[in-house]
Amino acid sequence: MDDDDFLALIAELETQLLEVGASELADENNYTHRDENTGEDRLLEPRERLIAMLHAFDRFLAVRDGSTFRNAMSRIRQYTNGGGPERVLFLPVADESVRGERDFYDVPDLSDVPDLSQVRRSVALLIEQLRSEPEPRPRGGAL
Amino acid sequence: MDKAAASKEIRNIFSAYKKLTPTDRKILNGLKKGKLYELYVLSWVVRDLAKRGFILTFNGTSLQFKGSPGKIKNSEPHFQITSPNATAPPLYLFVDIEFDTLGSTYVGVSDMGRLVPHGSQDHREFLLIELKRPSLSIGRKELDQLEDYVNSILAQPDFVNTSNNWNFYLVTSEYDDVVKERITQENRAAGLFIDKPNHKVWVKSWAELLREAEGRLKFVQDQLRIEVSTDEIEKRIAELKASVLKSEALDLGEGSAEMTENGTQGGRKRSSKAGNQPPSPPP
Repeated sequence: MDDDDFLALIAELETQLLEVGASELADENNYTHRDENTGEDRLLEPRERLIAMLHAFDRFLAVRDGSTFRNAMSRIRQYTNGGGPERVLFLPVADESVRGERDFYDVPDLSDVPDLSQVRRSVALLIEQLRSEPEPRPRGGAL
Repeated sequence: MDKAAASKEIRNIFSAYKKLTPTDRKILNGLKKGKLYELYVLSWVVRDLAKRGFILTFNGTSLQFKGSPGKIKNSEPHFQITSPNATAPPLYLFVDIEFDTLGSTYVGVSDMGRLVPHGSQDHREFLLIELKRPSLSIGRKELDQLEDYVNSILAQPDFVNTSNNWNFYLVTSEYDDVVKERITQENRAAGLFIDKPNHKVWVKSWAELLREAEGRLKFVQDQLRIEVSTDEIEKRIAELKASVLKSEALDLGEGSAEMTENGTQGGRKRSSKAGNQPPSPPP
């Protein structure tokens, strides 16, 4: 693949990221490096940028992944006398004087968060495959 | 792998993720607010404390992460931590890490806020600072939000018909041209967005704040950089010494050559002091 191919893949990834509400990950300004000679910030080369964006998406998934929840709970229980908490609740409104009665009994349990480990494995595999690609041909490609 | 295969794989990954995305709006909200990340960090804090010899017990049945500021209460679930040093008092670890700031005691929620001391007990000076995340460039929308926020605070029953003065600061990395126009008006200090008798609203960038602070610091440094020659120091010490000795002599009523010559015996200075005293009672 050449740089144009990687740029097309970046465009595809940006569209997908925007669709799932990860606009910050789609912003190319987050994928720059400092040019040591000029001191200017420059965009990463297309292949590196694509890989960096996929890494960022993996982090995005990690904080939404049920396996992160289970690992954290297992760690807490391992190091807490008496076993630690049974559940983890998210209270949208903190103060019970403000919180409605319905809200109080309808608190989401974070253990219901879906397992995304398979999706994350696919992301890791794609990163691996992109890394093992030969150096991208120059733009336009023809010698 | 070619481009078509990579593109297909990207679509497959996102398709799989979308199918697994929770439909429960509240769970989604919790995830967006980073609650799972908080749990992850907490698990490492617990592990590290245990590895350092602390003994942790959990008081309660469920951990409760809060989506908005709330008070820390002993009655709510938390960890109790016993130090390896048996004589040390127990420690408590709460997960509702969002809490009211100083200013919120008076005004609800803000990033930073404080009551500024004032000479009069009836009057209160408030300083409220709202910090915006660095990646956000503020525009008309944020300015309108700030104005609504200020108005809602000023309308609180606690502050109606009481003597208060407010300074609101919105601090940001950058602002757009609309904001710039509204905070750079003729005959007004730069950054002043609203100027009312009992409140002022300022918009400042970090760069401006730092520049102003540097300016003030330089002014103070310049004032402290006083060059005085040795002769000047000695002259001033001599003058000071003379004036101290003179007033001591006057207070003790010993008189001096000058006073004796003037025949005032204690002189004008003493009489002026005496002039403040009540007249002597009649014999």
